[in-house]
Amino acid sequence: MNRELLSKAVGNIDDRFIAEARFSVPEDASGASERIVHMKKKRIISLALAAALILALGVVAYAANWFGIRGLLRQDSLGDTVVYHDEDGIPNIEIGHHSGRLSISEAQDAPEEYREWIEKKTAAYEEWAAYYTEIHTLPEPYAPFIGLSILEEKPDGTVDIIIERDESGKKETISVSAEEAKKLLDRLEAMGTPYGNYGNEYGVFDAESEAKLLEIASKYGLTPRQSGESYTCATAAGNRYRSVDDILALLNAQNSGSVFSKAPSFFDSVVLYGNSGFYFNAYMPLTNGEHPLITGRFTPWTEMPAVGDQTMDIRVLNVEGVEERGATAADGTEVTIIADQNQVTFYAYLESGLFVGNWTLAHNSDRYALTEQDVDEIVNMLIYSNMG
Amino acid sequence: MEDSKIIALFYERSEQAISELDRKYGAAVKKTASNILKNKQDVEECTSDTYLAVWDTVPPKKPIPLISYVCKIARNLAVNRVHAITAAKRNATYDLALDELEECIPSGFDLETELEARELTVMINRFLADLPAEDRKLFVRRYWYSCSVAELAAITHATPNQISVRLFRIREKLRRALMKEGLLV
Repeated sequence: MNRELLSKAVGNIDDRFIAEARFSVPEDASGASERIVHMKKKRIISLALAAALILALGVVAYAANWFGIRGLLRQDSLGDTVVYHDEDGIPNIEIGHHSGRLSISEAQDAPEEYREWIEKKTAAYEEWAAYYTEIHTLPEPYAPFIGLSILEEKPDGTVDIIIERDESGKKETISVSAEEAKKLLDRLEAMGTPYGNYGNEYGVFDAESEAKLLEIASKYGLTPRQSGESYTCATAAGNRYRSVDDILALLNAQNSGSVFSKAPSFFDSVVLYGNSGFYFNAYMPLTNGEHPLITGRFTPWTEMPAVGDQTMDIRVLNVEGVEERGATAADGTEVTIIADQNQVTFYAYLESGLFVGNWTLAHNSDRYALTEQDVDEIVNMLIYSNMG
Repeated sequence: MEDSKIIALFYERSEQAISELDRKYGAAVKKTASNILKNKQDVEECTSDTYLAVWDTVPPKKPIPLISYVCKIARNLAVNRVHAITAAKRNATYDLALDELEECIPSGFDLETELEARELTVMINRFLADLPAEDRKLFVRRYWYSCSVAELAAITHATPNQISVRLFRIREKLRRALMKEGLLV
């Protein structure tokens, strides 16, 4: 039967994908905080501490234009519902936690010279998001749904539509005319088929929605990114396969020079958006022999934000408990580092855009926890001034 | 403790291997099982069976990364248990996810006569490798980990409707990829 075969086939997918999709288990919520190496708390910035940093780590703490977590923290995400695991490891949902989300593509606050871009992007995003929601929501009585099946036409010319509203398994049946069912099917198929150059990135599915996207972007002096070209070193079988050197060459060609000063040992995935924007998942070789998985994203200031970008945010369980510090990278770029026991995020405001890097403990199969020295090493593996 | 050290403990037949495995991956194993099995006792039994299966197979195996290996065992055991205990009634999340995936195959098309599960796995792996990382994670969390739409929505800060539409799009891509592979016409 197809069902069993599908179950078996999906059950045996590549280990790498299973490890990649594993969930971050908030250790403080599962009562197992002793399981991981806590990073040393260090709320800066005192001059004395900054001096110590210069000596010990070769990085410089700075106070000017200091935004810390604020630079990426989405204010609308504070106190969101979070999923955590109880003492038995069973997932639970809690509302009103001190959690928040860090954007990996859009600055939420920035020095004066970049604020105009934030304002433009915010306004463009709000306008686009309202339109996006309108075109992606099915009308009543179909919405809301989590499962929807359209059956064959019956002899009386009507069609049964089976709707599952929630996870309870209960099903609701609505009878509509064959014409209405065809309209619904067409709408669903259209929504599932990306249109033109921006379909994958912005959920555009016809000429009208593409025109609207371009109209909004142009109004704010922004440009949508095109459907990204993705590459991977993960399998030689796929047509996106490239060697590390090939990927670096492609990445560097769309930027102002080399983006990495030390080549990653392996790229899980790289997406090039054709507008100098890029996204990568790469294993970075540390001098101690570890290869932590780092995610990085460079977003040009002129790039129109997409609704789906929010789903790529980084969750922080306790926004008040993070460490924040500044560092000056090898190429002179000021980088902000935000860390808690589960992850490290680093970002830089650049003339051409925003770069955000992230390491998450749960995404690293050997659960190796980065030290401060490791973080500094990773921060210095990138040449920020060549981005864009 | 590093995976290699835990595996070394299994090779030494040290009972500490189980406790280290539980310490490191217990939550992940329980989550994988609890997405498919809703009964707490079933989850506990499935977790214990998973550890026993690892004990029985390591050695001779040296599975790296260990996380994927133990979660795979947990998932297979949980699926088998679902089939055994819910022959008459559906498990909402697991069955719903499988229903969705089945939509990629036209009704009346018998996959089993066309190919082996491992061939389909190769195709799905190829499809996943080409997907953007976030879509790939969403697919694996829904169809491998059997996470509910509500949970995925909470995790990704999206509405359940947005998640459903994203999953619909990914399934459409899968259907097209299977067509491209010549599997479906």
